[in-house]
Amino acid sequence: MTATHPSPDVQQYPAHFEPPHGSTWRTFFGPGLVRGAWMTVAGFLIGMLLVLALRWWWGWEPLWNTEVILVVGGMVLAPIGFLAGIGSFDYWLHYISGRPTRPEDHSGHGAKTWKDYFRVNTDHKVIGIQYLVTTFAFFTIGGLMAMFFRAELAQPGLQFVDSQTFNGLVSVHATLMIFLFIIPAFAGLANFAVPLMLGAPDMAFPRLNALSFWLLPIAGLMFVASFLAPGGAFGAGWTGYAPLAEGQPLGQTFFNMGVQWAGASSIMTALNFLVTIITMRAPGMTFWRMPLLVWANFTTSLLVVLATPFIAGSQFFVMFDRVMHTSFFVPEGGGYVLGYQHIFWFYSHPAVYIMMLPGFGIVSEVISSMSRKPIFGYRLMALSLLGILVLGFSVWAHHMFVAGMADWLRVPMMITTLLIAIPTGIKVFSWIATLWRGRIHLTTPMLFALGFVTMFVIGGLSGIYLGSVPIDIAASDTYFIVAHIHYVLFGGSVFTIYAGVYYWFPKMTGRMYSETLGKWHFWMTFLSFNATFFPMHYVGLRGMPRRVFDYDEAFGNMNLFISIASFVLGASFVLFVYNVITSWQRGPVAEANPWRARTLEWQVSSPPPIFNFDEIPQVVGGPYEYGVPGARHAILTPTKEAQKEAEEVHA
Amino acid sequence: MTAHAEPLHGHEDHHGPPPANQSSRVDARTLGMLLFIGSEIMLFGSFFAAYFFVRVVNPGAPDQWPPEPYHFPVFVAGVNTAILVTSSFTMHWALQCIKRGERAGFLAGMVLTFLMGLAFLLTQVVEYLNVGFNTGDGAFASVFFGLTGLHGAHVFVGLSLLLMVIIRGFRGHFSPEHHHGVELPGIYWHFVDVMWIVVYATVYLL
Repeated sequence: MTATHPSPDVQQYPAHFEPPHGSTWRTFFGPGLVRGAWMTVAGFLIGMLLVLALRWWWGWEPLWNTEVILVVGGMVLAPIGFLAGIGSFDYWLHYISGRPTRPEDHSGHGAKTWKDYFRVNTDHKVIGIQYLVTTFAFFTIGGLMAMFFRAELAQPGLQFVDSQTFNGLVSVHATLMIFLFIIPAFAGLANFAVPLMLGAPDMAFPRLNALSFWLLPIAGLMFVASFLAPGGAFGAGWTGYAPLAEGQPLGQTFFNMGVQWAGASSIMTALNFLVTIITMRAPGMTFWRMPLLVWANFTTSLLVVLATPFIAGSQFFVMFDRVMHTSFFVPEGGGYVLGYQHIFWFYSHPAVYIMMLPGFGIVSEVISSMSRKPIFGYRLMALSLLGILVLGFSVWAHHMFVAGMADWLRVPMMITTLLIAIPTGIKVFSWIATLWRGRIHLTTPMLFALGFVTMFVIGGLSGIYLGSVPIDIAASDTYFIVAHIHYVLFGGSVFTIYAGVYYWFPKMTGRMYSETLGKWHFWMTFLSFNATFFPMHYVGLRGMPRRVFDYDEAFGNMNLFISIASFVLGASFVLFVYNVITSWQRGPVAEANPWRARTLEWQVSSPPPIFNFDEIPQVVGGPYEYGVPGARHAILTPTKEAQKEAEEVHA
Repeated sequence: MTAHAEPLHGHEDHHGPPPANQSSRVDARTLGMLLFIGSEIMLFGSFFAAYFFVRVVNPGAPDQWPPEPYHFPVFVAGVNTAILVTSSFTMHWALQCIKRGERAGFLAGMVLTFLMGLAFLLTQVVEYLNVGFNTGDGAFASVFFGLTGLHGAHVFVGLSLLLMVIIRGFRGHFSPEHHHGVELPGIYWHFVDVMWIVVYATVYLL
């Protein structure tokens, strides 16, 4: 650095710099929810004026077009205004303007009070909890919607809602569960656990991490707010098929744009995970020593980064067709209707694995540590994840066997679909082999993990049925499909999320949950889940179509039974919420390592120190060497507290 | 610079995180940019897929592309292609200059790159106004505006990044030791450039 060019890449304020105080000024213009609120309004107004000005300039009639103004003002600029308002962009704007950036004082790190969870926080542990609380809030909303339309379906005919509202409830339920619960809940658990497991102080890009969390509530509110739109919520299903979606009322736009925000959120998180896993592993943490949760998130993130742009594309096309009068999927204009399904499923089939692979990782952690045995076939477990990743991109058209696509595509897609059973089967057999002759501890996370393995096998088997062209042609668009996806996504993904939340609850909160309530929660969920969804196989094969508000009298009793069971399933969630809230407030203080697990996150205090480790640990072996004499996963420098204690003992 | 810029270690006075272990030779920011570009390529992929469906798979696809009586301005867009390709070279020149510490060359290269990018974008706007069809004129127009518009949006993002480099450059930032802030927008700009060649070849020439 020469004297003529004194500035390095990043200039810094002197150490005594403090941003200007003054309480009123700060409340309104300092980063936070208040500035977020008025900047949301400002963003909307700017968008509205922009649209009006351009339409006036081009002389388009009518000047006021609600859908365009909603898209530009309400769904693009208002969210950007909100993000800027809460302070997501502050550091970058400082950088861009060429002004000196503030030195990192770690004030955006860690949480001292509950208010810190409502700020742009750069601590991966805080972000993980932000993710989980947000996603469980949307899980509650989505679940209430499900109970509402189950009440409607308890009897044939219409009782409570009209048909468009029914379709809206079903579509928003599915959309929330997929984009606002399963995918981000896994991202939340991984956000908390992965940097700790790697021996890293944080994620690679903490500010990007904070931004990707805050995109999520935006997407969720957009989906829920579609009920307020004239004409009701989007009712074309979570698949939003064109041309059905193009004739839907205004609510459909909320889906088109909400998916973009949720998608951007998951792409940024996935990118962050990949960079963290590649560049920030502790010394000695080779790829073949990484815990399987890290492996699972590595493969999932690759899927997210590569596949998610396709759903963004598909929703852009539908929105352009609706707003800009293009004809991507309009046959009269020369568009190709089936193209939507190809592009959509090219994302949405890999998305099934995005919703499953992190769960495989969680279950591997839980089963290994709760049966006190090394995971069986560790390398094959990791490689089978990669196998699913590659195969996952080659099966999308099995969702389209009855859609009228090219006939020659059917058999290749059937073969690749059935091939996926091989890596998945490897995983299931490895879990069983891990349990074999293990010292099994039937704690709540273990119960959920075992529940997952059994339920996922049922869901996987019905998946093999549906992967075969002849059966699929008969069962397509019936309740058999509904049963299948709920065995995979509820019995599969949601059970693993529960397992993960119970497993890491002591680490996250520093307190122990109530084991009794947890076991009640498991058994109630497990039984009512089966009572709800198993009969759907039967009514489906008998010919009851999915996505209908009315059905044949013959299915009446069956549906009444399903509806009652689904209310029990909903009630079981109350046990979980009660357990979490009371244990978080006044549960018994948790030890650092209540499960005696080997992975790194259990070697630090509960909750972990603000920067995870005082010194980066040295990894010396695999993560699952339970019962292997002399085996160690990592060597940690004792924390300051431990050193002090040791000194006191010696003195 | 002040003392607090130094990382604070030491067991007694521990204020910041321990420095993370660098487990790969790849720089984290460069890797992040490359992954982001991978994701962008897939986004373009979905638009190319729509193009493929409309023009190739669709049984009712027109024999002539674009269908009568419309024409794509192949020549104007060709000149525009030349401008954008040239700007990639000036970008590279700017980066090499700052690596050698030649400030004047760096700033000149950045400004030239920015101006060429701006010329490209403005030419595209003029092209849109005079192309003779609109988004509502059929599927060929949908994929034309879709692909060129998506690319135009990327040029806009690229220009914003270049502007950021220029502002900081004129304020005396960047040096032979610290030029990541130039290199990453540069990688993005090259991506935008290469992607345009693919878009031009597919939409205009094929």
